[in-house]
Amino acid sequence: MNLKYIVAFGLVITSLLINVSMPSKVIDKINMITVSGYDKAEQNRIKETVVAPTYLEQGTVEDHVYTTSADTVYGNRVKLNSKASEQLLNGKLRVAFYSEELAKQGLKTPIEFLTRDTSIDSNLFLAITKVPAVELINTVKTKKGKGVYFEDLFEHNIIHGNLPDVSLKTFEDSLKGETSDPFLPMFGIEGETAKLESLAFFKDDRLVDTLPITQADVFKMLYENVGDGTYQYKSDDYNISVENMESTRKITAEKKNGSPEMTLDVRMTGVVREYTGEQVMDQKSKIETDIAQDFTEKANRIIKSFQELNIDPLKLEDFFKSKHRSYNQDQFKEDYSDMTIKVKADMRLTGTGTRR
Amino acid sequence: MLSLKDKVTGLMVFFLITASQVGVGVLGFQSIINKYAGNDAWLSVIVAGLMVNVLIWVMYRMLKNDETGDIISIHNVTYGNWLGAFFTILFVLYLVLLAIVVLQTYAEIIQVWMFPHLNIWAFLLLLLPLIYYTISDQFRIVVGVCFLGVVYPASLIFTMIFPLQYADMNHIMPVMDHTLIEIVQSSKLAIFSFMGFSTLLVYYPFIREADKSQKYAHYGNFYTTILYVLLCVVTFLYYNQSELTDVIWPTLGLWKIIELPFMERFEYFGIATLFFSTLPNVVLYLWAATRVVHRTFGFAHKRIALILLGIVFIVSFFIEGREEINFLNDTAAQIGFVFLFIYIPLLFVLNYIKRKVQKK
Repeated sequence: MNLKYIVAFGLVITSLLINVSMPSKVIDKINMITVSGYDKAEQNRIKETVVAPTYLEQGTVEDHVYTTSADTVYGNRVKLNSKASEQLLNGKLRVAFYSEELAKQGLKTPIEFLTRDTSIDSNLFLAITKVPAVELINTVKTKKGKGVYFEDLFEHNIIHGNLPDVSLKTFEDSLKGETSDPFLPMFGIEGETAKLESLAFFKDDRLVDTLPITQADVFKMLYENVGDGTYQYKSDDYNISVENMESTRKITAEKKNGSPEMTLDVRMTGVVREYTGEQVMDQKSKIETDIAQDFTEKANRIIKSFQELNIDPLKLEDFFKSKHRSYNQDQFKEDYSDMTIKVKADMRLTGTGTRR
Repeated sequence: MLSLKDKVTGLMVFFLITASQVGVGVLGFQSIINKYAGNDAWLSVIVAGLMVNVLIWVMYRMLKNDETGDIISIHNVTYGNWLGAFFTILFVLYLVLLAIVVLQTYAEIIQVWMFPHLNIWAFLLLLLPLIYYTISDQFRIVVGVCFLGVVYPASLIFTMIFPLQYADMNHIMPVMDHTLIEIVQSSKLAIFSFMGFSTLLVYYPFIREADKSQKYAHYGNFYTTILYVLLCVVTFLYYNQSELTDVIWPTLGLWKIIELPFMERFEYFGIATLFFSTLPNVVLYLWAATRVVHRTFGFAHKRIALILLGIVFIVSFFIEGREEINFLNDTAAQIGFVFLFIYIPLLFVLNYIKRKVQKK
């Protein structure tokens, strides 16, 4: 019988006809935002700056920058769209900047939309700006597009530099978790370029402290296993620069006399790249102990400041919780500020380059 | 009577059981089951899987001892014709409800993630001919859909490697941090993801040498359990518990982290592939419902299929938004729990007594 084919065909056609009026998004008629920046505006409003590139011909990109302010981020989108020639969409958002002022007030609400919107990538990079975000975005002049520029800046610093792995995913994880506090990189302007200046530490969602990026190598090695880092050491006798640093971090948590005691054991290996003293081979063991000692001192200073501020970006509580069934959240938080946290460091120089 | 041509081999029970269990639930069960047992909820999945194994054993015991070997005849033997028919109708309603829940949940995901302006009833028009084609004729077509519904989405297991770059052991340790009671409470929530295997009570007569197929049913359930435990562990390693509670579809969140050179967003591929896993659910439930009505009242199979599809379609007009779908899911879970853990064992006992009495 042919009737059933006619009916089935009819249903399919009806379905398509009804859904054909669905708003579609044609690639030529949309503009993908690659970078967005948020500042505090008057009356608790949020000022949003977005960068949306247009690809002209092979290899050339023209970035359009739009700025408006409104009560919510998406309130801004209405205004931004009234300025843009194509509809602005989030699908390609790579980097989001928040001004220091906003971060001190609390980031929970301004980043809320990032996790709610289905089109936004979890690998997105977040950062704080020392100057207003709009200024930072406008300062950067690049031919490869601001989105790619900032993304590359983040990526190589994470893989080879002092920046620990930071993304929307890790930030959200530390923010929502009750046993850790988040941190983010902080950017500033130097002359005509953007510059990664420091790491910004948060208590809950508020910025409370910063650590210069030059000292962040120690933090990074305390925070995670590093695959390719550097270390600079300066003493009265010599200066040394160690490259190809690899480190493994091991935490042990014990309970002594009822109060927790943590030990962070960091083992590092590296290759000498620059050395101002004499005969590095003879001095090897001395250099190794010097660096280990220097590392321990710096690490102790960093941890001390965390304890004073009562923040836990190293996720020590998280670790303690996973190892001790007797863990009690209130008790740990109370103990944290004067807990014994030891740092053990071990440095091994595995090579000296092409010279003895 | 069913001829040998209508029947399928025992091995197919593996696919039928798995396909009836795995569905849209895999996208979101992790953030539901952690309510009581937190980071130990993956143990609850194992507990739930074992309980389902026991139920499968119970069902097989009933079916093997029955002459025809389906729920209609078991009901009739146990309760007599009238009361038996009443309970059979309740079973049909349960199956139709499950089919509606699955379809609506899948449509909601498409609406939230892919096409926000999608007209759900019009979308259903596209699916209904396909479902009708599958359920209106031979059972073998349903089995074919179930087979593909297990094989195609199996490739998605490999995508679970990507989220492991953010895996944190501290999220899941220490194991057994919760009491046994909490784990069992969570396993009650996990049972919902295993539901649907009760269609076994309907398609049992369609299996060749059915009494020897029991091991495949258990294997099928083991496969589902392993799949869920794997997914659950990866999710718990990726999210910390307080974050997970806020996420509606954790599995899609896991896919969000995947970036391939040729594909910016993996979720879309995942959602589309999961259609192969959703379709067998719907098809199997509706086929079973149709079959049961046909066996009870003797109406033409095709006509019943049309009427049931009509009901599913009309209901879709009345369901809108997260809360209603959530309500539907919770109701189906409650009913299913009562059906599986109270009604089935009760039926087993009554059926046993009745048969003993009749023999004497």
